[in-house]
Amino acid sequence: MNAPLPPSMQAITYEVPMDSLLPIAQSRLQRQKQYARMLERGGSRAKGVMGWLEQASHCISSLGKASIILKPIDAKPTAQGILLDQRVYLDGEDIFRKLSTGGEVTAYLLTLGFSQQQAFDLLDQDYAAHHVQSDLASEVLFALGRAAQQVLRNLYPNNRLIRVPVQSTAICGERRTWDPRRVQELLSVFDDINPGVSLTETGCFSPLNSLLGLTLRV
Amino acid sequence: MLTEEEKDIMFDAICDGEKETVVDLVTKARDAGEDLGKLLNDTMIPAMAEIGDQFSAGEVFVPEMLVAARAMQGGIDIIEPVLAETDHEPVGRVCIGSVKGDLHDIGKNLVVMMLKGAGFEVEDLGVDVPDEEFAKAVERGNQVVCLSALLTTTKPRMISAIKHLRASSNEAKIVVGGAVITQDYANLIGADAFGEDAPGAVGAVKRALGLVA
Repeated sequence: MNAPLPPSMQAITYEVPMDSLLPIAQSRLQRQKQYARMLERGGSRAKGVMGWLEQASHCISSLGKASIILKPIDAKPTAQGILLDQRVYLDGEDIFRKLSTGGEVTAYLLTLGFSQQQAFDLLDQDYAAHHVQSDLASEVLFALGRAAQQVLRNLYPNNRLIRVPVQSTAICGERRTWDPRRVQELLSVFDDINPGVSLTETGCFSPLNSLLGLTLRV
Repeated sequence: MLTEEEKDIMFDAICDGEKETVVDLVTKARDAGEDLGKLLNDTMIPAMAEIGDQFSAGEVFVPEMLVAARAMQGGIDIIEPVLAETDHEPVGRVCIGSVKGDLHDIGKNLVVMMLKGAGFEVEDLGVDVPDEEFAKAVERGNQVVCLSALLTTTKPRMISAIKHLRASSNEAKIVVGGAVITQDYANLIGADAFGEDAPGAVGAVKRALGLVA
């Protein structure tokens, strides 16, 4: 029988009520230039967009189950790089240096808990409403990410926190990425407590509105 | 019959997303026995093309295209049952999907809307589409296959999809697009055309079918 994890290494799962995230996300979406311009003009265009926004909010509220899972993991600087949880290497001189001087790592997994197909079906396959839903869901996910960072700040008030996003694909080909195999390995850190997030072989999260990352505490 | 002025009003109403105006005018045209296929081709589809051009030029954003498409759809909902009883043919038949491993649908869905607004019949295959499903869609009568990939790791999947299609059928044209796709990449992998954005995809499909130069 495995020894229980010390409290400092145990995972924590938070379910975040959608109604604490949606107002923030709606507000941010409406301030996006593409939406703000239309809403400012008023008229039937604005009415149309507000209608879709309402549908999108209802859809996300009905389907969504926003979760934050945080798990402190072992991080060892080695000659091959930083070995995380005995299973995957992370590159980065700066991170290596910070860990070598006593930094620690918490892995985080966030998800909104529903697929885009579910959303499309709930919206009666209305492409326009689905598009607005997709934009809103992205904002909800970012709000969830900020909530996760706040949780970490509350847990570790005396530490400086540095986020290390983990993504296996770059939409525009410019951002630094991990390969899908390493992301899969890191995701497996959450195997016992994963709320249903998986990765396609090409590194796409399923459900799409999910995020995996690391926070360095120094 | 609609006057020229009313047709201009309809054109502007589609561009401005004034769905009620479009519905009113199309209803008037239908009730007057007007040639609705001609109205669609001469007034409504060009209106969607105009909003598409404005989007490609950076003059309008996606929400403007969405409301225009909504207004257009309001008219199409009235026209379609009437045209279904005639021998009116769509401009072409197209299938579209995000390649295997790619779960993103946002760009693909915009293309679906713009293709429908341009008079095409569209079969949406969804996301994470296996190569063989594109080939099966061609067997169902689709003339063009549109492949979408949004990620650097999924764009190579277009190669296997194209290979599978070429092995299965010499007839279907292949159009590719997505945020990580370029004209050079489209040429490299043997696609027939490339759409740089959603309105561009409509042009690409038309070029692939030889409808425009």
